[in-house]
Amino acid sequence: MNIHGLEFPDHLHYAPALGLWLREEPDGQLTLGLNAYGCALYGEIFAFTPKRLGARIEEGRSFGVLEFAKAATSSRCPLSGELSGINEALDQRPALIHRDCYGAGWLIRLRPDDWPAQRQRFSLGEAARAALEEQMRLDGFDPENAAVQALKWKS
Amino acid sequence: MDGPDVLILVSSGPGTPARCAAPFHVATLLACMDARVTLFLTGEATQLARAEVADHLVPVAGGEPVRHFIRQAKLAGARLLMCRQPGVPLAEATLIEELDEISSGGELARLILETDKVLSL
Repeated sequence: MNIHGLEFPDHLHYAPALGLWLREEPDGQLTLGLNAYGCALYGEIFAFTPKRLGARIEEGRSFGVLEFAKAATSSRCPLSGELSGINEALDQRPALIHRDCYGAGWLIRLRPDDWPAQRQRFSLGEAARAALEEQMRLDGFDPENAAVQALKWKS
Repeated sequence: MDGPDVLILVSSGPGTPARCAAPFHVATLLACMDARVTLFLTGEATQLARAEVADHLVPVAGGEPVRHFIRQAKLAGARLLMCRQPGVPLAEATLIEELDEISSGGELARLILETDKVLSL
């Protein structure tokens, strides 16, 4: 799926308001990462610092901090669970978040409290289009100038 | 926010501009980790609550003024207090809107005793 030139793979779930994607793993964990819209909003990311492995994360609370040009922001968790994995490669190479946000640039793994009951809240692929477009509209996102827009949005 | 309470005692001011961004940036990062952060301006740092100082004092040449870092900390959820200095007149109209409260040395002492972690920057 492509929205305003940004790619959103069809096999992933999305949390549009948080700029995140979610992927269900065979062992029941979830992998979370910044989606293309989140990357476009924040611009170049200089660091991602997650909470400690094993930390209990309630829905809406921070699972880490993203630092980017001139600012920082919380990465809010879209559902409750235990932080079960961190991407250690980001310590040395935070640019992976931008370069490969759906692959090597993933942020955390979460052992969710009750994914089967929560799954329906996070639309899969094309089904997330309307919510993603609406979030972009609410944010005043300018796809023609994403980097500048990101700075405006955060200032 | 459900993390620990953190008090950041800010004492650097216009005399040491290069030290004036760190307290607010650290506050931003802590608040982003769900800590309940209070920034308390004391001594020379009380000058940072004046708009004409916050808007023009630049910690790093070519960078953003202190006001930018204060705003980031506030956006992240930090509280900003300043100490009223006895005998020093205070024109409240000249203060930045990000300031939550003008407080006292006694209140600072109480905060230090009651807060989980205290940083001095």
